[in-house]
Amino acid sequence: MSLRVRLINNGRQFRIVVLLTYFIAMLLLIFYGKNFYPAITLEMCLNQPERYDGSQIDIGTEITVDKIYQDGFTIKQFGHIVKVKGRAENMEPGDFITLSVVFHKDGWLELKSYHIAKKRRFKIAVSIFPALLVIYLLLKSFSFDFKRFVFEERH
Amino acid sequence: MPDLLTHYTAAYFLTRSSAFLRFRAVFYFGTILPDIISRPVYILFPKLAVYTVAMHTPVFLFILCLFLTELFHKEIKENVRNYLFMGVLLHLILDLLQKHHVGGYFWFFPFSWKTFEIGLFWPDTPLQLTPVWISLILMTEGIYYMKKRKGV
Ligand SMILES: [Zn+2]
Repeated sequence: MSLRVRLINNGRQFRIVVLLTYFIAMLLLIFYGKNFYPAITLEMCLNQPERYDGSQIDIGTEITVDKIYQDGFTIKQFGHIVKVKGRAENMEPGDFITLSVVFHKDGWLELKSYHIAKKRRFKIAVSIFPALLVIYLLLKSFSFDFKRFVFEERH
Repeated sequence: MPDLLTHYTAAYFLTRSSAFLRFRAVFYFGTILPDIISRPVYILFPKLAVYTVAMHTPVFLFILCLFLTELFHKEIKENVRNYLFMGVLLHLILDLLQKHHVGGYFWFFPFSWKTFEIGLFWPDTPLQLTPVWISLILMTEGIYYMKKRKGV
C-alpha cells in the first residue's frame, strides 16, 4: 500500500473515531439529563401519591386546560385529567398553561401560580416556515457527497 | 424560546451584508439548531421530553456543532464551525433575555441544575411582532434588489 493511500485511510479512520466520540458524548449527556433531572413530575406524584403528598411541583410539559369550574379547573397531561383548585382568570378549555402547584395525595392540586401560553399553536406554526427556509438555504449553498460523506460548497 | 422567526430575523440582520454571503446559511442553521433538535420531540412526543433536557444546553450544543462540522469538507471546516458557534450563541443570548413561569435553561448542565435568565419578556411576546419582522425583511430585500438593479 502506498504512503498516500495509507494516509487517506488513516485520515478516514480518524474522522470516524472523532465522529463516534462526539456522538457518544452527546448520548451520555442525553441519558444523564434524563436520569438525573431533579424535577418532580405530575406523573411521579400520581404514581406514588403518599410519597409526594404536600410537594410543590412545577409542571409545564404539554398541559392543556380541560374544563373550568367555579372553584378551579381540570388539566390534561399525557392522558391524565387532574383537578386544580384555585382562582384562574382568562383561562379557556384547550389553553396551554404552565403551573406551580402543591400536590395532594387524594389526587388534586392546589394552585399557587400559573401562566397561560395563549399563542402557543401560532408560535409553532410561525416557527415552521423559517426552519424550512434555513434548510433550503443550507442545501442551496452545500451539497452532500455520499461517497466521501461530506458536505461541499456548491459553486 | 422566542419563536424561530424571531431567531431567524436576528440572524438575518446580523449577516445580511454580502461579506457573509458564503456561510450565511450555516449561521442561520446554527441559530435555529437548539430548537429544531429539541422542540419537535417535545411537541410531537411529550412523554419523551425528558430526553431533550440536555439538548438545549451550551455543552451539548458545543459538541453537536463540532460533530456537524466534521461532516463538512476539510477546506471549509473552520468557517463552518465558527459560523455554527456564532449562530448557536446568538440563539442562546436571545433565550437568556426571556422569562419563564416555570423551568428555564440549564446553562451549567451537567455540572449544575441552576437556571438563570434576564427576564425581559415572555416567550410569546416577540410573536406579536411577527408582521414587523416579516415587513422589515421584505423591505430590506427590496432595498437590496433595487440597489442591485441600479448597479447593473
Ligand atoms: Zn431556544
